[in-house]
Amino acid sequence: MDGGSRKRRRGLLVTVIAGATIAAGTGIGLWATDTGPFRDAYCWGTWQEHGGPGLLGDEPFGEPGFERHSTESAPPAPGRPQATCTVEVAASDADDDDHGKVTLTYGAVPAGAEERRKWISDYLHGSATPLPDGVPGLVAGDRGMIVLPAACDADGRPVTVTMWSDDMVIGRPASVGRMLVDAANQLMKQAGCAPGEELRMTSPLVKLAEDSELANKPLCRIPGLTFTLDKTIHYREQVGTVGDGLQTCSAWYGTRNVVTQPGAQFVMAGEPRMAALFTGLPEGADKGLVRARCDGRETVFYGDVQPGLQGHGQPDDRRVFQNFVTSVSKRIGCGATGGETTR
Amino acid sequence: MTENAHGSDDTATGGDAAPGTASGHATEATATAAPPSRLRRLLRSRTARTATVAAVVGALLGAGTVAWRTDTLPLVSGHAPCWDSFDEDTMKGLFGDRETRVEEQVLENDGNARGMTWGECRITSYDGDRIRRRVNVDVHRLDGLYGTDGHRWPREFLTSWAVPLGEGLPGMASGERAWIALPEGCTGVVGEFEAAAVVDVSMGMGRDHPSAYEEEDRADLTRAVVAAANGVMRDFGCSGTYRTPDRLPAVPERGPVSATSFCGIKGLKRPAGTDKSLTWTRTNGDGGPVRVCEAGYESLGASIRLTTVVDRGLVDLFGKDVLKGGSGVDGPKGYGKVNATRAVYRARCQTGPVVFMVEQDRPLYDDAARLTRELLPAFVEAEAERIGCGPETVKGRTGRS
Repeated sequence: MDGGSRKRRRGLLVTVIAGATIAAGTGIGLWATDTGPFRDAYCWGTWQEHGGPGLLGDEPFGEPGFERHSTESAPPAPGRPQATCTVEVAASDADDDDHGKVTLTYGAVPAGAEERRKWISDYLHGSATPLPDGVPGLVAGDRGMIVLPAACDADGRPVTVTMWSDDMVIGRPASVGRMLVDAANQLMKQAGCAPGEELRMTSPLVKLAEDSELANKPLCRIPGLTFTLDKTIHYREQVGTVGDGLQTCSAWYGTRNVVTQPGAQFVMAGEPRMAALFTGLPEGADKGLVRARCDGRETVFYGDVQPGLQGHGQPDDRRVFQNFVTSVSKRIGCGATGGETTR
Repeated sequence: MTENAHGSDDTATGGDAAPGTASGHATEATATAAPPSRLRRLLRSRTARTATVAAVVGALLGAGTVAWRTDTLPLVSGHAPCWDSFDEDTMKGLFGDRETRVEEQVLENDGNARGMTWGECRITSYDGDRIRRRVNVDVHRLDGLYGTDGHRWPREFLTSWAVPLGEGLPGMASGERAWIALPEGCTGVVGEFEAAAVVDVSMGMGRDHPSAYEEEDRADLTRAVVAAANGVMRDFGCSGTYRTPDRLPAVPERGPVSATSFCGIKGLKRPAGTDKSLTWTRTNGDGGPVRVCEAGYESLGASIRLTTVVDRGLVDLFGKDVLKGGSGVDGPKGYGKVNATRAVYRARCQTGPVVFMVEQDRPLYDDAARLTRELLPAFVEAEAERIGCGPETVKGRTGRS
């Protein structure tokens, strides 16, 4: 009992000190763009090393024996809407090739249709969860994206801040979200397009993207989204979110989480900044992009059937897309059919 | 609060998956089994401290009536009980200025109990020696496999008098019960045969009687359950905080029975032969995790109950009923089971799995027999249409069920 209470006393002392540290950090410290005396900062001062064990922990991921390196381009500026930065974590031991890299990007979404579709399939993937508190973006453990306000648009295309890693889990989706929000606020300031109020994310992620599963008929539980699936091929599907303003569905050929061949992607986006991601793509039911007014706002219905599933639609790919439009628009209570573009 | 949320982000990374983890999702295991970070240890010791102070003060006052005024606690002033989450307003709302006794457990995930429990907290206020009010806070994972939470918990927490918290919050509240699910971002995706991890708050009996509709108590319980959930998230090293809703929907009241929109569901006819035996219906409200409509006779409690579970964290509370609860029914999107007191149908809707349930709690006076079996198909058809999961037709299985 005596020993126990002594331990508690020490715990209390540590608590008080740490409490003060946390309080100080909460105020301005974490927001400051220039580094404190003992902390390294990365990506134009956006991210700061901290006491936790995540990517930016003073020991990366709380593991001893790792080092962090960073490279950065010039920061974005008015008239220069692009920037890239990487943070790399590698074992300090030269014999150990354990490493991971995160890339942070500021820039307009790709102009070319093919590149844009690839971008959409990466960042609106079914593994990604929408951010809360009205922040227009999605996050997963290894990627994330926020669409910036229209004031940041470049060449008529929306500008986004993205995070991406090919080879590691950056953190929990919520942590990736917070890193992204911090980056977006910082980079918008540097680019000279920051809104009056900073982006804020205080709520937790109530629901995460579902786990991927074997592809179903219909795909992603959407009536009419039916493809002939070759029994010998391992197709998977993943539902990211099904809401009034956003619905995502990805299908691919490959193993549990490794996409070896993209299959198809379907998105409904009513939230204006999300819908903006599709502007500039060719439109029409035959091209997999139609717009309709749903609940007073323009809503985008998007379908991209990639080589892995092309020609597998029942009865055909175009009808499958129309079914997608009809089924989803019925769910959210609007009468789009995909038969024609309603304006 | 907003600045604080960013501050707590560091805490969030405390539970981060290590590099090389296969899935991007934080799972239960990574959330709770990750090596405790410094911050997490600190948060724990803060809880421990509250407990220590409680013990010391308890010792000073002596056993028997271990009680003290909440506002006279040394050291913890500004910190209220239950994982440092109840502020003074919450305590005052629930207990006024009365003396309270707090019995608070350290939050630990018990693997021996399939990881279903974390801890409980009980606060009792006294009027002299008499218990005035007792509030229980329970942090646990609901059972989505064995069906052990399929009856009592819904009967207390998923009632026609418990309104949705609204504003995207995964919870409900009444005058004696409130619950909120912990975010999946904190405790992991709820998969099949699983149910949500929840924080629930109870006081009183939790049945259909006047104190269940007390609006002020409901507001106090709502504040308490949101605060407790935030305290639990912090203790778990998760980021983000729920915001207490500004206003809850009006307290649901019993109203007349509609012949063509039974329970407010367009196209659903009042069950045949219930003209005399059902005189009222009451619905907790749309847009929440669970919609519950009850119908009954005069001043008596509910005779029948129509429940729609759209929150995937609660769907499998009834998973055992869906698989083993009686004779089989089928439809294009799902399947279910029917018995004399409960008919359950589980469909794959766009939003995810949805459970439609018809229950009969007591016999009707005009003896509408087999009500559950008769009502289920009509209920599913109309309700599926309403929630964007139609068209759906349910048929009884022929032959072996």
